[in-house]
Amino acid sequence: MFLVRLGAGIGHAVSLPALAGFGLIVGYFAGMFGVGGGFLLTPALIYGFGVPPAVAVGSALCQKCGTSIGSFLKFRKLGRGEPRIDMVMIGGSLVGVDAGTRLLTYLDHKGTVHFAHGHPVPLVQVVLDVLFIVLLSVTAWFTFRDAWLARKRLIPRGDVSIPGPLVTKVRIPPYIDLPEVGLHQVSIPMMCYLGFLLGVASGLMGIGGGVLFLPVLLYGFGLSVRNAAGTGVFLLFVTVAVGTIEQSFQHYVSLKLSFAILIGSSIGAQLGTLSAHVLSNRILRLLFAILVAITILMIVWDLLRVVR
Amino acid sequence: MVLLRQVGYGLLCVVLPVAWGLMVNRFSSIIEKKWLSKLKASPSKPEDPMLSVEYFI
Repeated sequence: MFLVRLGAGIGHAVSLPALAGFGLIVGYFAGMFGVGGGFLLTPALIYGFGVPPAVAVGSALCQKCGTSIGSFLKFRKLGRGEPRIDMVMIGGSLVGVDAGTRLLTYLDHKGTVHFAHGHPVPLVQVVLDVLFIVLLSVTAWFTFRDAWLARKRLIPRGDVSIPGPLVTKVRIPPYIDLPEVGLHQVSIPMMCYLGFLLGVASGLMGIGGGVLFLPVLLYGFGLSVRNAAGTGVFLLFVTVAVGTIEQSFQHYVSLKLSFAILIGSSIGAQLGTLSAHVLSNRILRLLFAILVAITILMIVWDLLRVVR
Repeated sequence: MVLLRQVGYGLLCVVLPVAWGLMVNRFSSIIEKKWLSKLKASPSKPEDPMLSVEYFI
């Protein structure tokens, strides 16, 4: 029903209502857990809808332009987070998103790889799958560990930053104070390189940063949950906007695809936010870890299926 | 001409989702005011100090 050719190298027609429905599910989880949903979107577009990996990445970034502007405005209104972190990291992030796009283009042009007894598989798909598995495994591990430690905590940690290893162990001058989040003497070069890595991840994998940047802020910088959520939203918006333009130059963005998902995810995000308000934080944390674990299993399953 | 078309499409890919996001943001603030305020005031909600935190990861 409503099968539409999406262009951008997607050879087959795709059902727009199915895409919007899928966007609704992604948006629901994104709204519920406060993440962008990129870690679900890119693999599901590749395996669920048969979208070429590079187009899935580009279109996911395009969709994030719509979702990230909302987050940015919301947190600006609430006045949460530390804008200095965004400003210091933005240069590295822009260079990184360019590097990520170039790497994606290179991998896309590299063609296919042949495994024993298997069909030819695009190299870019194999690389993306491995990266997603590694990234999501690390995220799931930290989330489970934090939920386990929080279980023993009698008094909630509250809105206090406890300097993490990136602040206390990385001592490369010059330094910057981040008074809004209560951190002092944070290495500027470390933040710039971190911005670069986040940009590469955005350009290469089409993820916004919820699944990568927030764990870095929480466990690396030691920010409180409240401050971490408001930090990096401006950085995210600028990074995905620049990434979208760059990827569109490579014909990796399908506007129809992005928009169909964006419409669904906008509705889903509202429903997800409503659900988040009636569930306890511990339950949410556990559900998120389960969702990440299921996503990892699905990627591993599909990777093994195409490799065999 | 080709470059101009590419730049135009690239900008469109950013401007259209952003415009949609701004529109949704407008609606969501209305929804939050009308529905979420009622939900937050609901006595059936468990008393958990961490619930005030909207985003946890």
